Amino acid sequence: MSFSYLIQVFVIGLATGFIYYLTACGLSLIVSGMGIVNVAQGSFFILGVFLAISSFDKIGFLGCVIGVPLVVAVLAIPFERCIRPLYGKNVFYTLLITFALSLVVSDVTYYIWGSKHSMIPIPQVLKGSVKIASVTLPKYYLFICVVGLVIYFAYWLMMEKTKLGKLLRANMYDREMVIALGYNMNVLFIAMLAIAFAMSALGGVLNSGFASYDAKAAVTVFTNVMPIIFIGGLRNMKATLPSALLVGELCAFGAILTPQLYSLLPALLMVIVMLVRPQGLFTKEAK
Amino acid sequence: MKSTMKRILAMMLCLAMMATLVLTGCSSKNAPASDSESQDTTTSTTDETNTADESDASAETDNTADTASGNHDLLATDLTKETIKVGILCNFSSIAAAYFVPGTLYAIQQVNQAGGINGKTIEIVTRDSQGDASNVAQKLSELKDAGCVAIVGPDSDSQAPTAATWAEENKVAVISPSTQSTAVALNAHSKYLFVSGLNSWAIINAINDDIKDKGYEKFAVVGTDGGSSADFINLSKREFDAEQATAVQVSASSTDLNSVVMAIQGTNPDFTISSISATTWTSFFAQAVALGLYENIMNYGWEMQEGLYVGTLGDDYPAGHLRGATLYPFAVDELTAEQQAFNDGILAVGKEYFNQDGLVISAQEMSWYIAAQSVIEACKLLEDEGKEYNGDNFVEALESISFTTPYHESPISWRAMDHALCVPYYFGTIVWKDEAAHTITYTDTKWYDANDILPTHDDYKAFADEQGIAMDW
Repeated sequence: MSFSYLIQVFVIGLATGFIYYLTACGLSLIVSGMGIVNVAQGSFFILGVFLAISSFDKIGFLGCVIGVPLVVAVLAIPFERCIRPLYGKNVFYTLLITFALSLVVSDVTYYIWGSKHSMIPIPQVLKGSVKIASVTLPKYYLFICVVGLVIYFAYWLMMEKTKLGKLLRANMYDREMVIALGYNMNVLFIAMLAIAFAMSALGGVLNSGFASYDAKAAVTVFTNVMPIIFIGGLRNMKATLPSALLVGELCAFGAILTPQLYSLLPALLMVIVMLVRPQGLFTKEAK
Repeated sequence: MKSTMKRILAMMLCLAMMATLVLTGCSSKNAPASDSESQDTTTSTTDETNTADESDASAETDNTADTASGNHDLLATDLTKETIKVGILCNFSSIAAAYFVPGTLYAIQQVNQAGGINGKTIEIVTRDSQGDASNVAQKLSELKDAGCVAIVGPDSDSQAPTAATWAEENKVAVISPSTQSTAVALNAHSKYLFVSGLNSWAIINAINDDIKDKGYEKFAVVGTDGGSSADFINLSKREFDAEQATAVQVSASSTDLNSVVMAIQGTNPDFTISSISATTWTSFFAQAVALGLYENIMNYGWEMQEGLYVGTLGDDYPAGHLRGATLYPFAVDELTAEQQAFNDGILAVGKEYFNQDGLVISAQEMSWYIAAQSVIEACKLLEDEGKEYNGDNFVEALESISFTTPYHESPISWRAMDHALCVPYYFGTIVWKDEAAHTITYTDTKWYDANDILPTHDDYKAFADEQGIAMDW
């Protein structure tokens, strides 16, 4: 095993991590900001995949990257209205209703697109590979890494430098106080869900350039990203990127070292983290 | 009041989804109600349990559908005639059913249109396994209780052992269109289970014959968890002279497979073997092509020529680098009129039953067709001989039949020893017929006689001894 091969595995692991991040960051926002685990998050990823496949011929790749997340974000309004009566109740209620909504969205997706599974063509400019030192990397993967970084910093900017971000952060620490100050929490939650759904849809659009999904794969998508959220820290949005990159590397090297078991590794790491460091690998313990 | 509100909100969610989709003009399928050119009629089946458990099979027929025979009442059973009930157990909750079940439906449609068997029509009863092996026994029992004389299914080789155990206990003939693995032949051997898919050991023997003069030194295997994938891993290691450099198992729903591709690439294999399907197949090959795995090497397998895969990967479909076995060489250059009618008929039945446009030919259809045709031939034999429909008689009939298909001039039959399908294996490399149009054909082809590549009793015995399996047949 040459050094250049190991470097290439490392770089592909990073790219895989960014792919995971795009899928997980929306869910992370909801878990951190609203304190609920949205089982339906994978449905909006899948919806992004299929909307991109259907609209690609009309609006092209860039149109899909921008337009599809916007369309999916609109669904935050009815979604929030559905879960609103269960705010503050036992977490199982929200788990169950989001699971039910996941089935509804999946079935509607299946009804519309049926048994097809497809991918969107990658733009010519993003096809092929580039060679950096001795490492060959597909341009599209580099593009995903760049998009992942942009989203990470956009999140950071929004949370740190905007009023919406301040409100979202305040909500994480003291929801009652935000309400007492006269802010409409429902509107805040709709904004949060809209951003989260758009991110998942964007993940779906970009993933559909090199992976295909069936219309009912929503729960699978959800279960694939949950370890990332747990490993990073349940209520720490900033931890999602390092966690996703770690899982990407774990899978990359795990596939070489334990090819028959590598897909178990993220879940195994999640269990270990939950037992040893329940607040998450990249989250400080609350004082 | 609150529950009414929740219902309204749920409806709003659906409506909002539909509205956004319509606004973006994304709907790719004509719903029957909105298709002004079609005259939709709804037919009912004679078995209420049938419609109750069908997934997307709503029994709605579209009169604009153009079946090969022109008959559209596939599911309508003539109540004035006596019927023979045949069960279908498939994962109707998955997209896969639309690429499997039409083969079975087409065979039944053909016999019913020809007047049935001895004046009796075949009536289908369906159950949805939901892809879960723990559902298989219960659903098979429901089909038995519904009066089915034989059952076609389940669709997955990982479910076949459960079906075999059930068949042995219940003495009902089950014909599974899955790939036949040694796990079924040895661990779950049942005289009531027949497997109408390719035999994994036979595929390995065919590949071994194909590579023997090519001087290959190393190969890698990628397969899904369980089922016949284990055979592809274990038997290739056992039979090939080349060294198995790595064997990666992924879950059937995996789509992020860059790590797997890199792990394989690191071993510098001379060729690979794949035992994956559906979205895992398209995702794996899309990522493998992007990472350059198939620039110079060949992949051997049995699942490479699905029309869906070609359309999904488009320009990135690794034509020229996929070689293997199939029962259904639907992409041969010159189709006979009979073969064309067969392909058209299966597509039309699929469109009609699943109410979907855009379905494409799937190689699996042939296994489902052969399963149903075997049931039909066995029923004919029992009717001719005036024998009672019971498990033992049905097994005896299945072991006695032989028939041909538009793609197989040599008769198809069942081997009594392990109920493996004796059918010629078509072997070739997939190449572009027209790259711009994304149509494929085959090159460097050959036919294998099943008897030359299926494992012998001695092969099974030796393998069982190696694995510490008690072989009692």
